[in-house]
Amino acid sequence: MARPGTGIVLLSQGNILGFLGIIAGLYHLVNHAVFKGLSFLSAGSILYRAHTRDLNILGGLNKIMPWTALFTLIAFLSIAGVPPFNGFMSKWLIYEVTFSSANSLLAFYGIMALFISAVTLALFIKFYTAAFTGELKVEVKERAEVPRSMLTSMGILAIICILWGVVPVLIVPLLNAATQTIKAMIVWKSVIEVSALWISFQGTLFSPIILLMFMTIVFLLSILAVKPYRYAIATTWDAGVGINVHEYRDYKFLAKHYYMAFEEAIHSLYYLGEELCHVSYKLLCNIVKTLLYMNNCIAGACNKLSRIIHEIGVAINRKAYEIYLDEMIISPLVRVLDALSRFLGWTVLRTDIDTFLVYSALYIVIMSLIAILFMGFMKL
Amino acid sequence: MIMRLVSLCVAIVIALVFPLIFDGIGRKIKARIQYRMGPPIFQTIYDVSKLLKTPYLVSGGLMFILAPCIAFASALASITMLPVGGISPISFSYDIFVFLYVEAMVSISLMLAGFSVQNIYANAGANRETMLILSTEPILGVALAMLALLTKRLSIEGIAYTIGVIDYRLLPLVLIAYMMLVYIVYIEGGFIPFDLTEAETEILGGPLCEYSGRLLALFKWALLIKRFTLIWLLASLITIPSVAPAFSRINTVFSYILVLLFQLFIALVLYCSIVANEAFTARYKIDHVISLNKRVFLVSIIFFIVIAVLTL
Repeated sequence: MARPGTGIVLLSQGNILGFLGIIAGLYHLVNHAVFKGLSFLSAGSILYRAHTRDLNILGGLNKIMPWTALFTLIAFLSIAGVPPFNGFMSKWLIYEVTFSSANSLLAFYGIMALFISAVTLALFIKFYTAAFTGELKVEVKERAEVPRSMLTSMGILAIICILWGVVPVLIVPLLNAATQTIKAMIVWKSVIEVSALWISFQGTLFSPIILLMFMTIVFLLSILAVKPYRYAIATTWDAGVGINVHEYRDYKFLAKHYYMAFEEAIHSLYYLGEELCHVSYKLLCNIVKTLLYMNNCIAGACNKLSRIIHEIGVAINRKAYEIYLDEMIISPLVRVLDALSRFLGWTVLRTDIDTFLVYSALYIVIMSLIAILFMGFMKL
Repeated sequence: MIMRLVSLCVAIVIALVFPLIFDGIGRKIKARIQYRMGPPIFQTIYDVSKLLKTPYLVSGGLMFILAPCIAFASALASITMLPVGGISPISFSYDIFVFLYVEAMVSISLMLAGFSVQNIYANAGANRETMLILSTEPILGVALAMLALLTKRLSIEGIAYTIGVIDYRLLPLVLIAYMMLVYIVYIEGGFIPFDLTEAETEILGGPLCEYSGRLLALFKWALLIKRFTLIWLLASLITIPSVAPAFSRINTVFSYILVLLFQLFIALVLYCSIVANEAFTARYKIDHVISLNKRVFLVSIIFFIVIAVLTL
């Protein structure tokens, strides 16, 4: 889906290549619908016949399902972008647009597309050769091709894969029509010209049908030179080790053995992903922690506020009138005593200085007498 | 038009004959460097012609027989896209991407042939080839993107003629892109530090170890043509820019022959220098190649950024 984006970016810059970008993107989208559909159908056929999806167990299916093998091969060559299948045509248009856009970022996307195309090739070679070639390993109940209805649907898609690649005039004008509405807004100049033979634009051109014809001629000549009717069937060469029948079935790469060195080499990429995951996990944790802390602070402040309100409430409550029976009985007494003592204190303090001195002297004398008596008493 | 038709015939003849002669010359040079007599120059032609008469054994399915023929057809198709004598022959395309993809079909048929036989050593060889292509592809992309950004062209002839008249301040960057192309040609051509696909001196070789007779001859021939075609691409990209200022548009028969001879000479010089380098080096293991390619890719990305900034 990202592919038409190139076209949109270029159109926004007023670049005429933008139309081509959109056409290329849509072309690739339609092609994906076809060859992805075809490869899913073939995967379904494998599952239907062999009852497993494990590529390590599968193998040698082309002996019982030759048509499915052929259609899968066509799907895989289309996806991998091998000329002159339809996948190549759309990929080629995408490369042309991204690389000739004079925009280095788009050119970098083109480089990545080129690399991913090679990766697709590698993985579909793995899929095809692991499932279909070599010795038959999986136990198949019915050693026969899948039903004709399944084959027909695969065949239609396979034919479309070839036709849209070899004769792009069948599909490109349709996609070109889709860009008509944009063309109305910008001064229109023809970017892409498609005929039954050629597809050309911006000074470059490609004729898939002539490529196919040329290659077919050379191919047929070399087939003639090879004389494919004169050969002897042989088992594989084992350098004289002498592999027995049981070992012979395992004398081939399993699907898990493919591209191990490459996997190891780009393991750092996975490792980087893991590290990034770790870092982002930590970052996320810290963000959540900060949020929690802020939450706690707010909660604490709210708690304090509510406590103050509570205190005020309590204080108001404390001043409210309350009736206690003990207070009604004891507190008058206490108050009387209190008043008496206050009155006494007041009279003492408010008398003149002479009386006060007399009282004080008297007090001291009495206290000293008591002290003397106490001390004498203690001596006795 | 007639010149283009002549170019096509010349291209096919060159593609059929010269790869074998170049291989013979290469074997001789390597032998002389290593103080051996070496085989005669036409030894590869003798080998192939003898193999083409020998019967063969088949130990795989239909793909086993078809793969060498497809490889041969695509190798021959790829050279018709390259300029011969400064003129592109009549062909289906002159686009560099189409060229590289048709060229890659040789590798694809090699992989298919290697993976589809019931032989673990052939599988391992095909596995090495796939990983080699996988790790080289990003560098190839960067080299093409650099050339495309510098010349604003994507046809091989267009790139070559534009480099002939390019601003001299951009020449160092063009040289860097060329060096990357040389590196890719070296790897994809399967010259010695990178000949791990076939690993010829092993007891059981690479994807071709099940092949014999005519099929082996066709496959060997296709691989030699592929190697030659890649060298021819480099030779064209060197020759045409250097003569383009002299003959603004080459039309006459005389200049055609002159440029063709110059192209052949440059191709021979390139081939001989690569072969001389081969004599002094030993084969890498696949993980060495992958890690080397990773480093080269990182360096090339830096140059790509420089070009991206300069051509803004």
